[in-house]
Parts: sequence; structure tokens; C-alpha cells
Amino acid sequence: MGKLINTILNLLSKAVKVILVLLPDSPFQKIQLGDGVKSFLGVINWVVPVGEIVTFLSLYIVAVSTWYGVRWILRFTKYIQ
Amino acid sequence: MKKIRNCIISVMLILTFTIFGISHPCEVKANPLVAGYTIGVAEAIASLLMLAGVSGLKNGDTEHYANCMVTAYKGIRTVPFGVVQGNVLNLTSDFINFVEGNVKCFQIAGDIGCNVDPKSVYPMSVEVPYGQLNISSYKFTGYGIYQVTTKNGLSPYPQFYVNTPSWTCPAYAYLSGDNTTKPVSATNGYFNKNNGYGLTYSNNTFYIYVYPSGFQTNKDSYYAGYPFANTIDRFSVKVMNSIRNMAYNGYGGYGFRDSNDDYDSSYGTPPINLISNHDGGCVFSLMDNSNFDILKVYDYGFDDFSCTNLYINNYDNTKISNVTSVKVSTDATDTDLSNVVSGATTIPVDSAGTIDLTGTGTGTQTGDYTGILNNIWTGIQTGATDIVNAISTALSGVSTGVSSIASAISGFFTDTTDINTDSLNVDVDLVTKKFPFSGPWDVSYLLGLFCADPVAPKFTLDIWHNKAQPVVVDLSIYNDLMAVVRQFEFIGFVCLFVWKSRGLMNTEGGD
Repeated sequence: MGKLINTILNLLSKAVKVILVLLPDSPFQKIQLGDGVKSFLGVINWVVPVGEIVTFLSLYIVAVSTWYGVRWILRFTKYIQ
Repeated sequence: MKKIRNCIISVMLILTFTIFGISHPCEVKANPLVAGYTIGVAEAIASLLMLAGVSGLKNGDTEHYANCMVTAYKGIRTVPFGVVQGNVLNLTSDFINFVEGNVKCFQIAGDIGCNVDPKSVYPMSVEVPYGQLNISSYKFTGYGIYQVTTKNGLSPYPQFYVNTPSWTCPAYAYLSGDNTTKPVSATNGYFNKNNGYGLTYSNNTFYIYVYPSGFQTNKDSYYAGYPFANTIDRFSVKVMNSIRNMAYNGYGGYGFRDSNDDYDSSYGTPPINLISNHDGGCVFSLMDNSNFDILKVYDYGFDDFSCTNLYINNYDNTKISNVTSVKVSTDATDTDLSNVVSGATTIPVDSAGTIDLTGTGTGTQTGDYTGILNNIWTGIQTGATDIVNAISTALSGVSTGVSSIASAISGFFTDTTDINTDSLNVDVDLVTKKFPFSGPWDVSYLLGLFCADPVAPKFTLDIWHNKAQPVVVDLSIYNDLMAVVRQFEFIGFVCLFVWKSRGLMNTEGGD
């Protein structure tokens, strides 16, 4: 039984890796800001805690997204309306 | 319903903390709240990775390796420790062909062992502790010839065993100190058909032959095969209460031949275990269900060893299986089967009277039919017995087949091979940088662009158009104050979101 499961896992892993390799790189992660904007951001961060807020927003977005996903599943299974 | 909702929210928060650690957009050092998150996230990620088997801690396995000296024959190359890869054992000698292979030494239950991969190589030499040898060899093909070198020498006639998690095989060693091959085991050895080839004993070096004889499984569910492939060509003879060289080297011994006459001087025929108790009888026990038609047993001339009675049993010592006749001969070259004690039944034709049917006419026949009728009756009885025996044999074959099928099915479900989740390891970059799966990480990256170290505003005012004495406004004197202000701003921001998040809990609301 273990050998069969290992074989299936290997096949699935290879299939997923092949598909991921064929996908293009994300274009958004190549965006860079200019130096002038960076100096201006320092002043803004002096007044407003942008770093903390961005961090919290990331946390919040993930939490909300997760909640919507779970809620959709529960609605699908008729646990909630 | 509220419990379910609270549970879901808890799970959601845990997932949030976990994923948050991956998508952390920028590093915030001064915020104790976020710092606490970071530690929790790290612990959560580590735990999840360990549970998923994703940890890359396999290197720790090398701790199980013992100090095992792997020395190539003739000392050309010495590998002190660990896993040897590559063309290490590419040597030749008079009788051993070392080929490329990987030698892995490890520790099993406190004993050192070495393994060779691929299995087809003819392995290696192992430096072992005094008086102890444990070699792990899985499914070797061909001969496994181990050269054992000890610093202190071995006591005469030690008994070695090759241990693996699957089987234990007694090693048969030859010590050729005086050019005479001697079996190692004195009372309970396993003798092989091959002699020692006159191996030289020098420099405290012993040559140990390991044969597929007498192995036993240590665990039922493990593979319990012979350590060598061609096991059908090899057999061993176990002699009780006696030391006998059963090899085909002129000293005497026993050979076995099946009806196909495919016996030769270098390889035996299907494995047979001979047990002699010297009570005038010999019991030949088949070690498997070898399909014999005729089994011939040769006595090579041991004067003090003869079999007055022969018993051929199945491997489980229960009954005769597939052996229909036996011949005992003292001549190894004798191929005559005429003296075989045949199991075939003969029906004597012994008529006791004659009938003359010539001529024509009518009259009264006279004669004695008693003898003829008796013979016919005897033939019918014998024939019926043969039919019953044939049916019994057929049913036995069906039973054996059904048992084999049951064993195969049982083996499938009792396969205890560990599930290896290493194959599920996926490079993180493949997920976080590949469109469109990179979506959450894209957002995280873009938001992180707005992160920067706080810098107090500093600018110059030219109010009086006096460039010699400009008015410089430097708000860095309020750095401490602004740090506190930023904390309150952040707390207020969080409170705002907490307030706005109440609507999310309303499951009846729209998205």
C-alpha cells in the first residue's frame, strides 16, 4: 500500500512542478519606484506609520479572504445561510 | 451555530498568522505587536513544515552512520567513513570483479553494516570490530564475497551472520592459512557447494563467502528473499552432528539433479536442505515447492555415511510434494534411471485359464475364469486408487493456488513501506513568482514598496531672500514625539478596522 501511495505522490508532484515551470513570471514583482519617490516616502512614514499599516492590511486582507473562502464552503455545505 | 462560527474564526486567525509570515511585506522592528506575530508565525510555519514532512533535516541521518572502514581489495583505495559514491571499487582481482557502485555504511541495532548500490556489484571489504561482523546486503546478485580485515585477527572458526532488517544469513567463511580451505563453523555450519578456491590468508585478512542458505526472516512483512538473485542455481546443505564438506571439489559431497539433467559442476539445482541425523536414515526436505519429476541423490563416497532409508518431504516436513521417484546412486556419473524406485503402479496380467474360441457350432464352454476375474478386480481396485490419488493431487494444487492468491492480496495490504512525502516539496519560488498563483504575493510586494524608514522633514525657507542666513526647518527634534504619535495612529487604525469588521461576522449579509 505504501509503495502505491508513494508512486502516486511522485507522479502528482512531478505533474505540478511541470505545470508551474511552464507558467510565466509575475509582472507585478518587477515594478520599482524611483529614488525621488523613495525620499518622499520617508517623510510620509515619519508622519504616518505606513509600514505598520501595510503590514496590518496584509494580515487583514488575508484574514478576510480566508473568511470569505470558508464562508463559501460552509454555504456550499449548507452549514450556514 | 455560534460555536461553529467561533471555531471557524479561530481557524481563520491561525491561517492568517501563518500565511502572514510568508507574505510579510516589510520588516517592522519597533512594533512589539508585529514582533510577536513574527515569532508566532515562525513557530507555526516550522510546525506545519515538520508535519508535512517538508523539513530538510535528512542530513541528520548521517548521525546513524558508524565508523565503517571500507577498503578496496589490495588496499588501493581506502574510504574512511560515510557514503561513498562514484567509481570507488573499480578494481579487479583473480576472482572478484569490482565494479562501480555506491557503498553506504550504516548502523542497524548497534551493529555496523555496509550496503552496496546498485545491488549487482560485487562488494567490498569491511573493517569490523574484533570477532563481530554484520554486513547488510540487500538483494545482491551474484556472489557476495566479503573481505574482512581485522586489526587483531579473528579467533579460529567464528560464525558470522549477515543481518538485515529482512533476513539473517549465516556467512560461511574460509580460512586458508595453510592453503587448505577450512569451513568456519564447526558444529552448525551451512555448507555450500563451492569450495574456497584456495584463498590466501595473510595480513589478518579473511575471506568470507555469504550464500543464500539458511536465511530466515526477521519480520514477516518484509521481503524475505534470498540475498542473491539466481537462487535457483544454488543450494546449501546443512549437516547436523558432523562436519562435512559438501562441495564438488573431490572431497566428496552430495549433488542433486532433476529430471531435466541441468545439473552441472558449478551450480546446483533447486535448493534442497539435507539433514542427516546419522541414524541410518536421511531426510531430504525441499526448501520450496520445487517442481521435481525425478530426484536423484548421489553419494559421493562417504564410507561412514550412507542412507538406508530415504524420506523426501516437503519443505515444511509434512508430505512428499511433486516427487514421484527417487534413486540412490554411488556413482556421480550414473545417469541410468532404470533402478529408480518408481511410483508407477503395475497391474500383473496373470491369467489362470485359456479359452478356445476357434471353430463353429454350439456347445457348452468349460474353463476356470477365477484367475482372470481376480486380475480384473485387482486392476479395477488399483485404477480406482490411482484416480482418487490424481483427484487428491489436483485438489491439493488448487488449494496451493488459492493460498498463493490470498498471500499476494495479504501482502498488498500489509505492505509497511513508509509513505514518503518528500516528493511533495515544491520550491516556494515556483508558487510565489509564477503568474497567476503569485497574486497574493504580488499585492504584498506592491504594498511593501510604500515602506520606508521614517525620515523627519527638513527644508530651507528663504523668507527674507537672504541666502547667507537661510531659515532651516528641521523637524527631527520631534522624532520621539512622532514615534508615539505613530503608535497611536496605528492603534486607531486597527480599532477602525475592528469596528468595520463587525459586518463580516454577519453571515446573512452580502459579500
